[in-house]
Amino acid sequence: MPPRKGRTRARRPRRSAGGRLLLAAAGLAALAALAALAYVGYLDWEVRRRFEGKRWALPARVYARPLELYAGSPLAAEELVRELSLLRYRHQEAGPPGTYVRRGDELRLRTRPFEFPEGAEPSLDLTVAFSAAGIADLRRSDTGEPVALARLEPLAFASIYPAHQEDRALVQLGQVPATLLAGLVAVEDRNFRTHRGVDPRAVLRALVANLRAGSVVQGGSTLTQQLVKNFYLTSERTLTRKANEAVMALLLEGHYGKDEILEAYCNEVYLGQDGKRSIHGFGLASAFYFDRPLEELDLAQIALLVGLVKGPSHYDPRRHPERARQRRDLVLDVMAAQGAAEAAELRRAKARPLGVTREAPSGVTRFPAFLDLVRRQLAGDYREEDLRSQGLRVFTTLDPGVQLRAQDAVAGRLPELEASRRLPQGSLEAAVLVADPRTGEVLAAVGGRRFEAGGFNRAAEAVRPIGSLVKPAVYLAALSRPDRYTLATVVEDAPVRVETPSGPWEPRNFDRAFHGPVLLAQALANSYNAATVRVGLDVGVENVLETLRALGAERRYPAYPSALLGAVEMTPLEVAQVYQTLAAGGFRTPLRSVLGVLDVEGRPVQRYPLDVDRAVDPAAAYLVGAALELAVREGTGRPALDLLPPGFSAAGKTGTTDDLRDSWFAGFTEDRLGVVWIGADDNSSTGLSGAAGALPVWADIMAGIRAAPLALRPPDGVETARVDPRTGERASGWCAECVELPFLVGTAPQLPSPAAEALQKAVDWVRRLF
Amino acid sequence: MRVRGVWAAVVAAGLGAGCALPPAGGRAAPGGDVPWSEAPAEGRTDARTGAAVASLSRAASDEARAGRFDAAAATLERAIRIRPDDAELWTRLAEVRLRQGQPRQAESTALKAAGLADASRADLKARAYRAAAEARRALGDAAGAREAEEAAARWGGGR
Repeated sequence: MPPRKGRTRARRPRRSAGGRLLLAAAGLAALAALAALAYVGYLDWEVRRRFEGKRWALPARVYARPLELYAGSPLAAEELVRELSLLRYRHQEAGPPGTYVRRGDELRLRTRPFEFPEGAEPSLDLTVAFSAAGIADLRRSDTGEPVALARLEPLAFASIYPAHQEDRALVQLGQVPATLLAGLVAVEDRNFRTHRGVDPRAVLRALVANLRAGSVVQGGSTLTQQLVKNFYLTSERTLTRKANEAVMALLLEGHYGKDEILEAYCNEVYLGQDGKRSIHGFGLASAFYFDRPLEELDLAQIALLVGLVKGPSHYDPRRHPERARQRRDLVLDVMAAQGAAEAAELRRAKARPLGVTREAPSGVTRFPAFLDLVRRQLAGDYREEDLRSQGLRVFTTLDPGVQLRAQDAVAGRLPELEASRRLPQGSLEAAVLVADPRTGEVLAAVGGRRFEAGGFNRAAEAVRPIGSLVKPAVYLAALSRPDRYTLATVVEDAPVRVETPSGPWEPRNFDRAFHGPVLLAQALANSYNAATVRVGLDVGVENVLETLRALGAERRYPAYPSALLGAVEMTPLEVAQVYQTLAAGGFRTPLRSVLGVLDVEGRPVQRYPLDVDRAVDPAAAYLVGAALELAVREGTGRPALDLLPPGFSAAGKTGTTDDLRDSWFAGFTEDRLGVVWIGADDNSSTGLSGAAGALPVWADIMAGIRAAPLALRPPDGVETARVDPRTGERASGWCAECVELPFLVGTAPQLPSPAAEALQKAVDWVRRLF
Repeated sequence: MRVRGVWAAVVAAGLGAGCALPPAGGRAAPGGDVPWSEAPAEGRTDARTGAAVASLSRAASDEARAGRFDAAAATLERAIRIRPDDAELWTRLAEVRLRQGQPRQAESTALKAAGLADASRADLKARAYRAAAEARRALGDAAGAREAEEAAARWGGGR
């Protein structure tokens, strides 16, 4: 085609310069657009990736045992009230879940629903009637129908946090009160339901308001933008960030619905600080400020939380109550203006005090020693990072009432003991374990005298020589040989000399005396060292250690004779395992502090069942139990009875080590096993024997938790006989000093002569007449 | 999977606490030759806790019959927590352990149950020893199983 005349000729030279520029500019613009598109694509991918799947690292929640309610339970009214108080139930007549009223011996409560590993427990309106013996009657308040069994929700007493120390209690949108959602939208983003992620009108409004005020008084960010900011971005407030935020907000709204975004917001929003732990989400904020579940907040409290969104530190109700109150009232006004609250409610709400608890509930736990036991048990099955991030729900055996009593006993006795022995204040330390010996469930653990501090958990970590606590193993080994030993076997508590590689060993008794011939039962009850060594050497140290292993001691010990007097080291937890087997008549049940674990969805992921193992001969175990009962009735454990109700019975063993460095008591009643250790961390002498130090703490605990008195049940193949302690022979008739002892059938000492036997028969016949 | 049926059963049982207890007698468990017998849930009676333990007992029976042995064990453990000296609960737990394929646990649990049973409850003793015998058979301990069967027979509990 021939070029056009004139025009083209004139233009061509110009195009080659400016035209190329234009082309280049167009090219660049295209590239920029492509880059922008790619970038947006990347943001889009980021938005979706983070929003799906696991968004948050959730701490594990740890629960105590749930309190079971049933007619026939020995639970006292005070104990139920204490549990309700721990669970933050409020006084209210015929109220919503989480309320109760008490009228004398009757209590009416509406329980909160809860998802247990075995299934859901619904909310129930219950009337509980108490008698002196415990719960006499349990029925539904509305229909009057009897209820066989109900349980309260378990106390959440601990959390195991993600490493970044963010804490939240996830809520679903349905669990967030409608008023709070309405308030949030009214105050923070009134067009939330209609905009696309960014609200230009809000931005404009904010601009105007800020210009007018001369400072930033209003934000134009939507809830979506705020979510993006917290969820994805750092807190820099640059223009690029703002731009990114806007784009991502639009993208978020493109992919997800308003409800999903709102729910994420409610769980993400930063609402406070507790030391290193940051409080995220309304669910946790409700507990943090009001110690109450989100569903139970009133309008004023809701308004306070909504107000905190703008600046949790600035409006901290504990540190700046006046500011918080003004902010809350402003929020109430906005809510009323936007129709989220009624005028009458508004007036009432403004009149209310902030309602914030004085102190934030402890972020970690009130019971760190027990939590430590829990972690030890879980460590075998869960990695630490899973514990911290999967939102697991851990169901434990902790009994808060028993735990608090154990703590009280330690707090009460230690200063007294320090004073009595003229020890420096604070020098004594203690460890306590309380368990139900029949089920192996650990009810309480005290790791030291500063209960809430955590740190070294002496109950599970302090390895100490157990002294006389080992003796039941010696006598159990002996009594497992009924052809050689019975409880009436006469043993010599006389000086004994043992040749050891490091020289001769001549053990002496605590009272420095030797008691001559005594019954085996008395040797154990009075904790005679010399007699024990004789018996132990005769049985064989190896066999004694074998018995100790059968009882549940897992450590290996060298077979030195000194082991017979307790030169073996254990933690209080290990001691508790050994005594659990004894208390359960020879059936060892591994002590456990965790019963089960649920995942974040509420699905069971782990069970720790009730295991039992016939570890030692039940008849021999029964005999040892009887001797330990004698120890409390008449032996070294006697002082316990002065601190327990009249007529009480228990079994137990005192333990004292060389130079009085360790004071131990391990004992059990019908339903409770307790191990107490008292000593000094630097292993110095405290001057306290087991009876002087650990025993009173043990007795205080047992009395305080209303332990049931021991009622040992002889197994098949055991009979009783009266024996003369002076001779070890069968008592023939009237004998003031005679004792009734159990024996394996056929091993009781026989009567001395046919004549005496005839006499005995006659006497028994006469006795039977009356 | 949540075991909602358990709680529904317990609540239903609780609301109908005056209902009759299940009849005694043997009944073959699914897939096993050990009868899941249901002696009346009284054991060493403490009548006051009877309703609570009875309702859990019934729930455990239902779960076992439906083949949900883990759930039955959990329910029995809950009952044992309320009445830990109840030989009948322990015996049932032993029977469930057999169904859960845990013969070693079943043996020890059965022996514990036998020890807890009062001498006046020969039927419970026999049942516990029978469960121990079954467990020992599963463990390949023929001699021990014979011993346990003899103990059961001594308490008058021949099959």
